[in-house]
Amino acid sequence: MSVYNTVWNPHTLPSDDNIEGNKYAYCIDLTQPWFMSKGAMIAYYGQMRFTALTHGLQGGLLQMVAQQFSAPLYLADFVVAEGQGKLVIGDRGYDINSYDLDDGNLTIRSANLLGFQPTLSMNQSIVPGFVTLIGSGKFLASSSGPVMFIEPPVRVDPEALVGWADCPSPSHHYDEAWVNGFIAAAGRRMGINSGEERQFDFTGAGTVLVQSSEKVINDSSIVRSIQGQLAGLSAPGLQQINQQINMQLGQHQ
Amino acid sequence: MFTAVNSKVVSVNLAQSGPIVARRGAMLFYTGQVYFEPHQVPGGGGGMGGGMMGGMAGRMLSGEHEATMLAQGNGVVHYGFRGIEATVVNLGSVGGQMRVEASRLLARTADIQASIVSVASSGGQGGGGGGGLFGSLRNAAAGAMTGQGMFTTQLMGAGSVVVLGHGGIFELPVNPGGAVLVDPQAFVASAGQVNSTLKSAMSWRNVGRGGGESMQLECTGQGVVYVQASEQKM
Repeated sequence: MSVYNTVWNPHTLPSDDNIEGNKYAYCIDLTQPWFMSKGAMIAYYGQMRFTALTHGLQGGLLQMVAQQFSAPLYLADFVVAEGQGKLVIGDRGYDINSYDLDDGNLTIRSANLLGFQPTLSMNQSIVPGFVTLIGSGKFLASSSGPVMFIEPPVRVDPEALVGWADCPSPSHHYDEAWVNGFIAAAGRRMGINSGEERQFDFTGAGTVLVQSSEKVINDSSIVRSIQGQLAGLSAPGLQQINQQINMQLGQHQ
Repeated sequence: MFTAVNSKVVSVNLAQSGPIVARRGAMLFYTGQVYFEPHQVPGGGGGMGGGMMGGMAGRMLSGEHEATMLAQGNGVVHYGFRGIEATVVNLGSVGGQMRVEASRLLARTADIQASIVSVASSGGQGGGGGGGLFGSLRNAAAGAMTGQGMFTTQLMGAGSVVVLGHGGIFELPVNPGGAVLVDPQAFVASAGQVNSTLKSAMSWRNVGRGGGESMQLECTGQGVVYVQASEQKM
């Protein structure tokens, strides 16, 4: 019987592993609470409760969230799964992998983080759209195609970046050679700069995780992070942003 | 020259391959000293004069225009695009000639000659469909059905090309004795001396009752046809 027509049951489903022959689905043997990305669950056996982080949490669970989850922008994107059973997750047909962090730190694009054990603490990264996991424990991440691990020094397209482990300090890199050129300057004034001129530059010791680039579908976290910064702006600054937005909206139509 | 890293990503060592022309936004990451600059299709005027603008406008009108970047220097560059499967084709081994839609072209070595040609002119000897006006009309209809429009990009030379196809690409050989019939939406590219004409299995009798497979692209000649495992457009 091939793996493609196997009928799984709670006893044959793997525990904490990819479903055999299927890199797009992963089965968690739930015995302790997990933080899960909203919408990642596709099926489960057993007794489970999925509780939103924003309301409905009580007692020890509330305390756990308060201690381990310091990413207010992403509160609405995660739930706590608790109970007993087998939990199958999937994400847009992306490859799913589990990683073990041993007293380490790893920063990951929030859209690619599917779940993590509460022994890890999740912190909002200063890079918009990314979160940092610190501590020891297991987490699950999805990627479009297999993840490629690269050692710095390397320059990465922002859309292709999945995350980075340890501390290769990320900074922006601009190809000034032609950004200052005549055509590029004109293009920039018109708000066209979606090319290779902007990259993330990684130097230092560590590992960088990259996937085949994806069209960003869900940019809600970026929107929220921009909204969070608007509060401190002056009226001229807001007007300038308003202008830019109108220009970009014009291009979309 | 291009190396497939996985089904969706290719890498290239610029020191070995020379400059690379790739679709803008397709660069994933690179190591070493690499410089990127916008690239214009040669033959479109080049330079910065008014000639270039005319060529650019022409390409935009024909729908065969994708902004590309030229990468040169010393280092290894990885390319991928929106998580679509990428296939490396060695142009030298398929007759040094290929026709592909610009939007399906991920990257190519810069020594390859690229030009925009009309789909209607691809018939040449009129592969079975009768030449002349009707032949060219039929070819134009084929372009419309494959979503390629009236124009396509012709590549000539001995370098390497990376082509995008949803769900992966496979090759079908075309021989003088054996024509290949392809779903127009699954058609990606053709290499060598291949004529493609649109065939309709439909007659007026069963208009509106077709099974969705009523239009096929008949590829004749000598070469290879590249087909994707999907009917998804770019």
